[in-house]
Parts: sequence; structure tokens; C-alpha cells
Amino acid sequence: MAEGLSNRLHALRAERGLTQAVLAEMAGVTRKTINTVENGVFIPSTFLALKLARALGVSVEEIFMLDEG
Amino acid sequence: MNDKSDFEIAERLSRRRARMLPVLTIFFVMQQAAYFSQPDTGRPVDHVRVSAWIAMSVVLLVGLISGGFWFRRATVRALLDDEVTRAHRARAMETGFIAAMVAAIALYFVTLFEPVSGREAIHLLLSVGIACALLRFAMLERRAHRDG
Repeated sequence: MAEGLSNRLHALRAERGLTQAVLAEMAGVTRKTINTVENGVFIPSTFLALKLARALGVSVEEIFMLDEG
Repeated sequence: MNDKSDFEIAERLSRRRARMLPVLTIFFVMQQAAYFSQPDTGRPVDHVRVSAWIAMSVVLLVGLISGGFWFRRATVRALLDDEVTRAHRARAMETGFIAAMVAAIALYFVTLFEPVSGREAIHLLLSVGIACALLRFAMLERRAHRDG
């Protein structure tokens, strides 16, 4: 996980019963992108974060949050 | 539906690119090893070897910079050049630049003891830079696909 940033992308996706591939199509990116964001390997741009939030029907803050302490 | 097939095509091509790049890089490095083990003596065959190296270097470099797959649809190419891929490319370019600089420093010390022609130096630096950038890009792409 990248230092200082957590995300709930995997959990939110699983709650909706979506595969990485389906979410990738909904957000207009590749499955690889979803995979790297979920694993914390890649911190997305604001643009991509907004697209992911829109695809999942949540706010960006519900997906990404700063690590406390 | 066209869009769906574009995603599937991009996924398949992206995986293929990640698999093929290390192979291409090894082939490229082996080509250079053959060149340096038998230095240029001005024979016609040497011109062919150097031309092949230049052609392959240009193709690999342009492929790395542009993302390749030039004859695919624009939508597929856009997916193959998405945000993560661009980030991987930037890191790969950084690695290639650092490797070329380190090779240049090493070459400087080599020239203190052994004469090195300008062409040989360019050949070495370009090859090291391209090979290291390609390997780094391939490694990052393979890891991105694998972790799912």
C-alpha cells in the first residue's frame, strides 16, 4: 500500500458483485488499472479517482482515505 | 458491442506486450553482444549489422514511447496507453536514463585505459538505455497484470 493512502475499492467492488474487468469497463480503463489501484501499487489521478467514484456511485472520499496517524 | 470487444482486445494485447517485451529485450541485448564480440572492421556485413541495430533500436524506442500497436483502433490504443501504462513508461524512461548515465560514467573510466570510438560509445549507451528501459517497463507491466 502506498504510504499514507488507503482505499476501499476492492470492498466496494465486491459489495456490488463486480469483477475487475466489469468495473474497468464501467470506468473506461483496463483491468490492470483497477488491479494496481486496489493493491495500492498505483495512486490514481483525480480524474481517474472521479471516474471510479462515478462508476461505483459513491464519493471519492468513500473510496480513498488518508491513513490516520 | 464494439466497446466491449475493445476492452477485451486491449486486455489481451496488454498481456501479450508484457510477455513479449522481455523476449525482445533479450534478443536485442544478444544482438549487441554479437556486435561487441566481433568489432566493426568496415566489411559490408558490418554495415548490415549496424543497420539492423539502428533499425531495431528505433523500433523499440518508438514502441516504448508510443505504446506500440500502431495499426489498432484508436480506442484500443487509448486503453493500451492508459494512466497506469503511462506511469510505468515514465518510470521505465527514468530507469533507462539512469542506466545510460551510469554506463557513460563507466565508459569514461574505460577510455582512460582503452581507446573507444565515438560510434562504439554511442552504440553502447543507446543499447544500455533502451534495454534497461524496456526491461523495467516489462517488469512493471507484468507485475500489474499478475497481482490480480
